Amino acid sequence: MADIRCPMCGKTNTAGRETCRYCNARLTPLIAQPPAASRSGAEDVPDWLSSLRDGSQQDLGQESSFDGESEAPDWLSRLGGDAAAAPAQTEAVPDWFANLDGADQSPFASPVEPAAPAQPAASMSDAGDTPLPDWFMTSDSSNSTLDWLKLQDEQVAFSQQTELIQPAAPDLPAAPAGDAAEWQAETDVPDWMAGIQGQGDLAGWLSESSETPAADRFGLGDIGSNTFSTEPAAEESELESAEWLSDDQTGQSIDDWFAKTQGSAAFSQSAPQAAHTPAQPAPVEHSGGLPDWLSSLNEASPGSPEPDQDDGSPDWLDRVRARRQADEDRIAQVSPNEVVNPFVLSDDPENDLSFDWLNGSSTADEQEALAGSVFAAASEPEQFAPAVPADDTPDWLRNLNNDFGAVRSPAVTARLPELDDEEHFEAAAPVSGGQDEPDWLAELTGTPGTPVTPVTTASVPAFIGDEDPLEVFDEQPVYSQAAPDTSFGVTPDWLSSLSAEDAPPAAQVSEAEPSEQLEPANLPTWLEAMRPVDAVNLEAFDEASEARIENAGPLAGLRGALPAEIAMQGVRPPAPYTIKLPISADVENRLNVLKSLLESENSPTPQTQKAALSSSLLVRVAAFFILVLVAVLALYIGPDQSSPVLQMPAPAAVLGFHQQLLNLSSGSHVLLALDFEPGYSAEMNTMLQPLLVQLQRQGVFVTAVSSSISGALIIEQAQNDLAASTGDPLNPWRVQNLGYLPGGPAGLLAFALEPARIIPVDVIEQKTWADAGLNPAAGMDNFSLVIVATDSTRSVSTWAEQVGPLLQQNEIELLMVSSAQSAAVIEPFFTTYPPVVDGYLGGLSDASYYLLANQPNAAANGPLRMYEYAYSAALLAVVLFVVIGGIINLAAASLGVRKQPKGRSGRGEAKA
Amino acid sequence: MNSSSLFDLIGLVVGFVLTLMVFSYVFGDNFLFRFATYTFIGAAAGYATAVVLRTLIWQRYLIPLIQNPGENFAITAPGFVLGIWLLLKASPRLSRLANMPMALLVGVAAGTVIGGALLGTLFPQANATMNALNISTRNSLQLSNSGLDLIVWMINGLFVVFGSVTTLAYFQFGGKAPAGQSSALHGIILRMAQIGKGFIAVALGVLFAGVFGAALMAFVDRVTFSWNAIWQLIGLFFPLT
Repeated sequence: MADIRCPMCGKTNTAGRETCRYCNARLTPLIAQPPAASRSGAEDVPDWLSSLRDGSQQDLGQESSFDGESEAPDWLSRLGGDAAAAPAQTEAVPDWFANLDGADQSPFASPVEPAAPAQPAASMSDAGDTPLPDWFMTSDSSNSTLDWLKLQDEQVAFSQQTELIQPAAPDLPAAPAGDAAEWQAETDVPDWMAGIQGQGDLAGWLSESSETPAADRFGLGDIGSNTFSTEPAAEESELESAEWLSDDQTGQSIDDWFAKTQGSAAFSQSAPQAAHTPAQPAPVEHSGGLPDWLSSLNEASPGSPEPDQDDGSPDWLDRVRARRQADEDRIAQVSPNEVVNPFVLSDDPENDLSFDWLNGSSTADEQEALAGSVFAAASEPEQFAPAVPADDTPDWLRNLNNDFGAVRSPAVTARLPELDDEEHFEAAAPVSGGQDEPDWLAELTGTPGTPVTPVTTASVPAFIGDEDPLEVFDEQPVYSQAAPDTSFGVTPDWLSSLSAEDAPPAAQVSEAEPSEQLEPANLPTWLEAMRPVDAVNLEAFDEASEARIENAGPLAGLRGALPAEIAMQGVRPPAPYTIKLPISADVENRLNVLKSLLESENSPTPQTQKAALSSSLLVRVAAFFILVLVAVLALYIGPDQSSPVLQMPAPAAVLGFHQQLLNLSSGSHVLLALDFEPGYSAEMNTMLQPLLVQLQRQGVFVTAVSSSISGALIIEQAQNDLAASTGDPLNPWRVQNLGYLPGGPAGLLAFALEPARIIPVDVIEQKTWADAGLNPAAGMDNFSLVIVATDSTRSVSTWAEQVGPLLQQNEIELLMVSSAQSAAVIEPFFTTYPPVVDGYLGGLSDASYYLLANQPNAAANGPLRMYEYAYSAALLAVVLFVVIGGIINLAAASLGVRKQPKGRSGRGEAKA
Repeated sequence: MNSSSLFDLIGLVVGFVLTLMVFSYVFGDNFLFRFATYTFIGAAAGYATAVVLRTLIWQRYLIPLIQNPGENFAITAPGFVLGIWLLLKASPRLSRLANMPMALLVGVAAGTVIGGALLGTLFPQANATMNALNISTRNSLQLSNSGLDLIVWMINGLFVVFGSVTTLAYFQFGGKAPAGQSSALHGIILRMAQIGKGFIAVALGVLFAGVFGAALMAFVDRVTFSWNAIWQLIGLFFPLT
């Protein structure tokens, strides 16, 4: 069995396989079996087409019986099965036709029910003494011979649905109603053809206008563009006068048509025999009933036609036979290099079966339009040459097969814009392998002028019954247009003269003069600079893609496909472009400074030797000794005892502080908080002495606490100082020392809420709140007054924020004794309404006022006065230092400006 | 000389020597000053440790647990556990485990401070500023209503209000940023901020003067202590008649 070449990968497979064993592509197309009983117009494929397909499947695998003896094409042979299925003829129907199985005798008969598959031999044996030719037989008896002729109306529907072809709706002769036999006899139309039930006049369909191109007759549209008109063959597609098929016309008749088929069969016979010759249907032996003309076709050899044989065959058949013979003779006389128009069988213009478009009688425009067409490629026998001699499929039909998978040229696209089914037109590119592709194909694929490459894997032909075109070109040599295969037939002169040089103008663009080509555009420099041309290696991309022909995969056969690998290899990262930002000189200077700073971090700098005695050291030492001297002198000299202490009225805060202390009753309890550091104990203790003396005199019990960690010592120190000042050191004033209060603000808040729980016992004597005469449950209500002695602003704010609101709620006054540095912070708490702090002493001056108001005698002679006098003297000295130093610096600065170099001028001169 | 007098004398001498060591800083950083500084730090740290151990841990956690564990366990145990848990902060590897007590500590402190700042400082201060020119507030203080006093009171109030507003305007950072320029305050806000800057400078000067006065007072105290100590030592070795 003949091997089958895979249309996808191009590898050979055994004939019996349905899918390729390499790429799993389908080797044989799927053909839907038309329903036996339904012949409705909804079918996409007409019966005559489907029958041909079905027959082709059965033909595959069968040995070719067409060894040259039978000249009938396969497609026609399959029609024999339809004829066999024809119902029995009436009296007017020839016997051979009547013996067809299940064939309807009347042309007006209803669609023939598909008869049971019968042996072709048996059916044909009933037809007559002479067996029917193979080409007339078809194994599918369910297909009626009349169907493809009878259902011309379906062709229109088919073309509209498939949008591939709009075969001409033949104008069948308007058969008179009722008397079909009479009509048939009058028109002398073969019975099998007379049964055509369709539109129009049969004579009209069979007749052929000489002026009408065959392509137009068949509704093939612009054959030159390898397209098939979707328009209903209203005007052009109609076989206005199928003269070549009609018998009573002066023009071409059916005989001519058959002659052409025979001619094509002759071409196919003479075509190079491929190793894999598609199978041909076995010759069907049939008995009588077969018309002589059919039998003569079956018996006649390709080289021995007998046109003059009077065997009762119709005249048209005789003419077909005669032309076939003439054509063979002509072919024999044709040189190998001469392209013979297969349709020009004789010089007789009357008997010239060639279509006008092949005859050269068509206009020049038509010739040009057809230059790149499929029929132009018909001049290339290797393109369409059915290598199997048994293939008598006419060229137009064969072209129909091949063009199903042909590449749709732009002309086709323009003509058929509605064709969206690319699959039908997508070119399974010719199998590459170094073989050239035909010009027409090359043109379609955009590579004109390239060597011709046989179309091998374009697509699965519609008519499977035809031999596999792949096999035709399987082992054929490289075809060039200059060496056409004359065995294909006679090509018109104008077609044979076509060559690469005669390609349509569109294909000759590349061969134009360089001067006529467009020069590359000169881009402006700024645009050229923007192009990242360095990013992609386009040259490598172009060089690799142009010469490469894909040989595998779905892009097999395509030239110039973009290889992803090469494209990626050519891509490289773009060159880095430096960006320079414009900056000002000022910014640049700053950047330089910053850069120098960063660089200098790692570089060691030499240490400058400082002078042993510097001006700053001398000034500092001098200031120290002066201050010490002043303080000593003040202490030594002492204040003037006779001078009044203070003449200014006391501040309101001092008065309020004093008033609150006077309001204390004997035996009341006062909470005293000593929140200052030991370093400030001199000032604070000096300020606290009058207070403690006051409290002692009023018989107030004092409970001391401190948020400082050295608070216990501070309280004890204060207690000792009081004892020494009062002159009774052996009986110091009893103060409940609660010691250190931890926790900061939170601890202070907790102490304000539950003081007995936070500090349950005395630090020194371990007395509880009860022992001290306090109610543990009362909390802060045990105290009539709270006095806070502090030296920091934070302590002032903490006591005022945490404890002050609670004391306000319980109507407990809060007094503060503060150092001079935190006195400013207490003022807002004193001036607000309602006041948080009811009075305070801010510094030694306020303490002096308080002492003066409370203890006039002690104010004149006490230690507070001594410290106050020394403090004032030292403060005066400091002020003098600041003033004198400022004056000196100002003078030095002014002198330094005058000592600047002469080169450096002032502002005014600098501007000039 | 009794013991108390002896310790007083030792204390006197040690104090005088340490005072002189600190005064030596006038001549620059030197060994004497550092010795005195390190001595003070050490003594302070030791005293603080002793106070915490005695007054907090022993007296407020351990003694209650020993005397009445059933009643005081619920009160003292959580704090004790959290305190030990917080000691894990000393270890670099285990410091993350002490994040819980630290978070509790920070949260309580933050809440206390924020609440006190709002209720104890912000609202009262704002109320005082608003009432600086409130005559009813003045009357409640039972101040004199003489003409001069009223004028002084009014000027003082104006200063308080104007100073508060301009000081707050100085801390306004909601200026606009024109294209290509840095952000800047609005015109009137900018002028008020400049005036507020002056008030802030005056306030900082007052605080600096107070700090200087306190330091000067401490200096005078030390000078006085040193002067008295010298005379006492001289009198000790060279008794005066």
